[in-house]
Amino acid sequence: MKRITTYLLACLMLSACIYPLDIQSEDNLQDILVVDGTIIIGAESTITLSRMLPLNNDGKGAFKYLTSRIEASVTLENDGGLSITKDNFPYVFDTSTADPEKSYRLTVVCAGKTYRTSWIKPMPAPKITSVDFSADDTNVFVKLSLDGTQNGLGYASAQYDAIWKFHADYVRILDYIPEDNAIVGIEDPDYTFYECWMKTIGRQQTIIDYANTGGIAKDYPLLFFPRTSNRNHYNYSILVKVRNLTEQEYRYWKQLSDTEGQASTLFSPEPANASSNLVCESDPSVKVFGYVGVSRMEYYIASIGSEYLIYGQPPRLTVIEPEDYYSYYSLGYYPITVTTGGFGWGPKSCFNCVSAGGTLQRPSFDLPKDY
Amino acid sequence: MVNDIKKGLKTTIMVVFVSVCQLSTTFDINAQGKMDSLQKTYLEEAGSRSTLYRGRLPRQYFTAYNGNPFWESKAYTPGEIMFNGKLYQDVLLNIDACHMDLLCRFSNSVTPIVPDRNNVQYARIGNSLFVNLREIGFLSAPEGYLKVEKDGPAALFSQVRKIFRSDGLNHNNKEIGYYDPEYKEKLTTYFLKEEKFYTIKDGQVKRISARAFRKALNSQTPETPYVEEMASRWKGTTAPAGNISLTAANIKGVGLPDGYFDSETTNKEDSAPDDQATLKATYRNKIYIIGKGEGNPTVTLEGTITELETQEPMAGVVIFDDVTSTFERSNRRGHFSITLPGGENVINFRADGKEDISLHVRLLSDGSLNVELPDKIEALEASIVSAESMANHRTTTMGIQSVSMKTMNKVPSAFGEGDILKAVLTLPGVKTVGEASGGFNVRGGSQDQNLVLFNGNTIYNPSHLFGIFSAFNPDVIDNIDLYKSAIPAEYGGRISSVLSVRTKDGDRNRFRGSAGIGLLTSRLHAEGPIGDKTSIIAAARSSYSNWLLNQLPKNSAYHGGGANFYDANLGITHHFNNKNTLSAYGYLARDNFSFSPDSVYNYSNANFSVLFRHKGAGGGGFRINAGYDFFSNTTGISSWQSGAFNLYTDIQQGFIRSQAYNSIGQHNLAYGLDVVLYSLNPGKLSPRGDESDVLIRKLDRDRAIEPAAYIQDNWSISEKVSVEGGIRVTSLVSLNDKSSNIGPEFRLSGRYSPLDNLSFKAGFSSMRQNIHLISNSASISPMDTWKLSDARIAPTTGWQIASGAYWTLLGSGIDLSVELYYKHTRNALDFKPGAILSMNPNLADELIPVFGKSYGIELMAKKSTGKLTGWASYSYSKSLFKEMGDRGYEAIAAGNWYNTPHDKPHEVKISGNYALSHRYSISANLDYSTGRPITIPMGYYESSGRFYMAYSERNSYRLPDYFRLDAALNIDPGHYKRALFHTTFTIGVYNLTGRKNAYSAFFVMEPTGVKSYMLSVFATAIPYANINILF
Repeated sequence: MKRITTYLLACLMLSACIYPLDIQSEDNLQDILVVDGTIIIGAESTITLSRMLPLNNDGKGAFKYLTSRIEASVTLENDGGLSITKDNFPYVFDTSTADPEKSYRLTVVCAGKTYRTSWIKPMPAPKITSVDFSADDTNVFVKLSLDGTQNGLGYASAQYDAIWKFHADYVRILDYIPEDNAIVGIEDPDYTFYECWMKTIGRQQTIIDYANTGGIAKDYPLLFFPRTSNRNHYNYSILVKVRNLTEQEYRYWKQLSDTEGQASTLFSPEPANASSNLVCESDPSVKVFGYVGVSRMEYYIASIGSEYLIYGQPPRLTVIEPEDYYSYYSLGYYPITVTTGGFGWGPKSCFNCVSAGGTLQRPSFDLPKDY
Repeated sequence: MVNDIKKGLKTTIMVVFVSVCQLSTTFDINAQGKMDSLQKTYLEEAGSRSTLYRGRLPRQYFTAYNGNPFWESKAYTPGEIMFNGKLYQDVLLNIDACHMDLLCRFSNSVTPIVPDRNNVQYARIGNSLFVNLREIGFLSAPEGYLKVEKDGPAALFSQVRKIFRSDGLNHNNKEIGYYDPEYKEKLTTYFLKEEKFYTIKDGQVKRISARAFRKALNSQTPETPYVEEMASRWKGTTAPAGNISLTAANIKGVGLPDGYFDSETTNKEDSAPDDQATLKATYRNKIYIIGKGEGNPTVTLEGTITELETQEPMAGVVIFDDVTSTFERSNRRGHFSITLPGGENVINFRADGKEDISLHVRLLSDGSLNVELPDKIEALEASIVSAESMANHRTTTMGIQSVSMKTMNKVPSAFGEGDILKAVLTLPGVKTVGEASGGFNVRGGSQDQNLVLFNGNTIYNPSHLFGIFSAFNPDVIDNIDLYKSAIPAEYGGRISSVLSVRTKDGDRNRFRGSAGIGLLTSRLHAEGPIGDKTSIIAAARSSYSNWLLNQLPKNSAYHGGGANFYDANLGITHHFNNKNTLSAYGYLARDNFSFSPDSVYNYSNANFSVLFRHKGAGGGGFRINAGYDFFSNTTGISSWQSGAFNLYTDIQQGFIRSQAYNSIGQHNLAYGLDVVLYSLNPGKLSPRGDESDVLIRKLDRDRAIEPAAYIQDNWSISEKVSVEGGIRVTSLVSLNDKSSNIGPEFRLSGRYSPLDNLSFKAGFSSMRQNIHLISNSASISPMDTWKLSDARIAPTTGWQIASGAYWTLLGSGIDLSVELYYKHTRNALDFKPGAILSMNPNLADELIPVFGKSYGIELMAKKSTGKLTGWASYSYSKSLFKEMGDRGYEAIAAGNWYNTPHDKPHEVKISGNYALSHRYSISANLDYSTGRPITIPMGYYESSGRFYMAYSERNSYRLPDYFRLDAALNIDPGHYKRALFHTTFTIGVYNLTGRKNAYSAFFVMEPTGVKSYMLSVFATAIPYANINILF
């Protein structure tokens, strides 16, 4: 019966397959300017400039290219006479004391072209009611609740930073002496016990439509991570940053997310470039990507409770023959523990959490000065 | 010895003569065989029985069997037969009880003949009297002959049936053993004997049990020659004025009429009809006298053509008279009307898959003649000209394609289901945007520009399971017509095409049905009579893909998902009399999908209609069709519990369509009034689940009324030239904002046929469309909605010119055609980038009015007869949009023409079926087309921590070309008419070459850059098997 079922399912489902597609684009949309950033009333604002990369870029130089500096002059002004110009990277503006009652606009002059937004009135921020945690057998979920009823709005953008403390997966009890090709025990294993901190800055935003729920978003799923993640070793703190979006900005980000990666499936919307709120005034036919919003930001810090903590399973270690000890050592492997029939070797990150990306100094959240 | 040789020679000549007679009347419409010498010999030998022996050869059983097919024994017994009101004695008789054939032969002849049962009143075989009760007026009697066991007003009858069976179990039971003295133990084929008993009660023939029969037989009631006298006195019925009459008593002479084998001559028979009754003409060697009096220069003959087996009306039957070249076709209710010169005529009836019938008629005044066409099961040899070829050259209509059910069932399709839409997609000019796409595109038009009618009801989503199956159960479908251009004025409301699907009315003779089992679905249908005047047909179909998905392992992404559908059809037809019919139809369908617990989709169709038809005198009549259509769509999203919602839309419409038609000289007129009342729910948002905080929000219903009036005329100017023209005036009045629009639609087409097998046609049509599908995806999707024209959304208008040449290669029966077309539309709707089309009260702000243009050429070669049938076509076409307004730098394609999502320039389609034998046939399908247009990324950029794609101009690139080859082996049931069950098997392979046709493309950001992938739905060869059981 199961064989028949499998066969039938193969006909129905498994015959559908994904294959590489060789399709060559002929258009040249290189060098289109991308303006990214939000003017935050009450905190520092960072505007990032980059260029669009051709599709057939092999990616090796992509990230380096994206983070390279683009020489431009960026001006932030409001209709009350404020005007701040930055001529060099990074384009960071101190808008911690900016007047929320004024309208703002951004002007970018780059490569002889002038790009400008219209006057944008800052959006008030929604109230963050709570940030809660829940878990099932597999994952821990972080949920966000908002109340936008005071402001009568229904679209929000949420980002989050996270800080947590974790330890390495192993306490190393062995050491290798390459000159003697010998494995010896470490007299003080506590010396090799590492505890580190990790901090992530969340630049990706989650778009929330809570207009249909009367301006209240309850337990909106913000993120989740496995219970076996090192986020659950000691503590986990999250800083959630939320701002409201205009309908136009919401539609911009929604269009991007709806067609992200999905070019021309039969049921998804036809992909198209989202309309930026910047226009090249010197030549309207020139395209520009990105959207610059202006709004206040609301912050909320929450920490995970101890009931979610769970010690993760260590990675599998390699058991090797004594003749290979030196070669493994030269590759950066260390003997960590004794296993049945031999010694278990692993990379440095198994016992050294700094190698796993952590820091020994406790980081802190970047909050506005008046938070 | 010399006498023996002479007798043998005479017999041989007669056999040959009869065989030739049969062949000539079946296959050769231009029979010139004046077989004088054969005719004379036959007349001499047959003498007074020459009229009697006008029949066919008996059935042959080419296998060994136990038992025998005869009523009692194999022996021929001397007897007499009342045939056509005349008594013939000294005839050797027997009865084939398997087919209920009376067998007659000369005393010296070897080969018996089967006289047509419709002209046999009774036969006395030895001392037993066998009566054809139906022929002598007992219409409630079963078909065939009944043996009179005891005569009288409450006569007792018996009827023996022999059922030919073959079961592989080497089964021989005592039911056959006792009458087969030569019983062979190893034989698996045999004739099973069944006997039923009847009596006359209250003037009706009723069946009784064997016990009641024996009791009545043994009763003391005296026997009187009641039935025998009735049968002896039977002189035929009398018909009302204007209809055929059968007056056997007035037949003069017993020889074959002069020129009997010459189709252009007529029989010389007098008739003096008094009261007349319409009878069915199934016997082509009779003369039918229509009407009274003489001297009418032209006479109109009308009637209904039905299938002999099921009494189902037959549409599209060709009726023609070679002498005057008058040509007609039966309409979709089987009705025809033809005007001919008064006097002797030979009228030919041709339909593919049916026996060719030629009727000799004597037209005295207007009258009616109903015709039954039997199946032509012997036709594996090519006829000279198929019925469809003939129709193509004689009618003005162009761009119409009819798909027969037989063809449809032979077209291989995924999972082996007979599929109407898949069959339609094999026609040139009909495309789809992708495999398993819900709709179709005709000559560059978008999917909402096709009017899909199902018994007059509008179907808004003609597919199940996102296009894998069509919405129509093939078991109930009678005919399918697709109008691609020159759409008759009776149809309106859509720009591109009309797909009209009609169901059968139900078998009026007996109950029967079928059951089908496939890989994903099963279906059941039953039909039959209710009394004498009513028939019913019902069918249901359901999928079990849900069950399959639940068998998947729990960690599978699809476990717990669902994809299923069901549909049900019901049709009831009541014939008040020969002129008035009332039909009611119902259709219900529902689709459900959920491939993850967070999102569910379902949509449903519910349609109901009634149709009243009246046939008037002189070929006129009218019909009124009224009904209600309901289509709803629900999407449920619950990825966020507090924001979980249901989004619901629906379309409701009520309609009344009326049409009257009549003929005035060479003009066939049709005119009518239509009214459609629309009520659309563009969106209702509501909470989903107990924890949802979504507020209920509704958009205002979109209401409008769409009246239309039309008139059309088909004018046969001459044999070579005909013109069809019409005008339809359509308006729409919005009941929301009180806006309205009105405009004419013109239809004009002409035909010139310089030869019988060559014709040229041209046509012009203009159309209006007031209801629009609002979608920003390439295919019909669950999130789509519909919108009526109003003050901000103008109706879509368009016109099309087309021309074509059609040539039939005589001798091979191959039809060649070339059609060119150019189509232009205005105010078609495209959407702005990032358009939000759901729950948007200002939908007009998201839409862009566009011009559309499409043009193309379609070449086709089609063979409809013979062992090899099918067609091959190539088409080149283009379909483009262009914004009507000026949106500056935001305009799509900078304001230039750009490809529509369904623009596929090159297309090759080949669909064929080869009949290896009566039962076995192989089918193949080949489909090649240019890949559909897509929009692809040109680059990527980073924004807000993510990488996003930058896209090209809309539809400026293409997916890889599409190619697919399918093949199937079809095993039809054996032609054992008495078998309780017939089974049809289909075994095939869909996508035989396993080509990975691209369904969609997507692009993924990977560490080494952006990579492009395609999804292929049917990426391998998919074998399938299908079983259909007919009972």
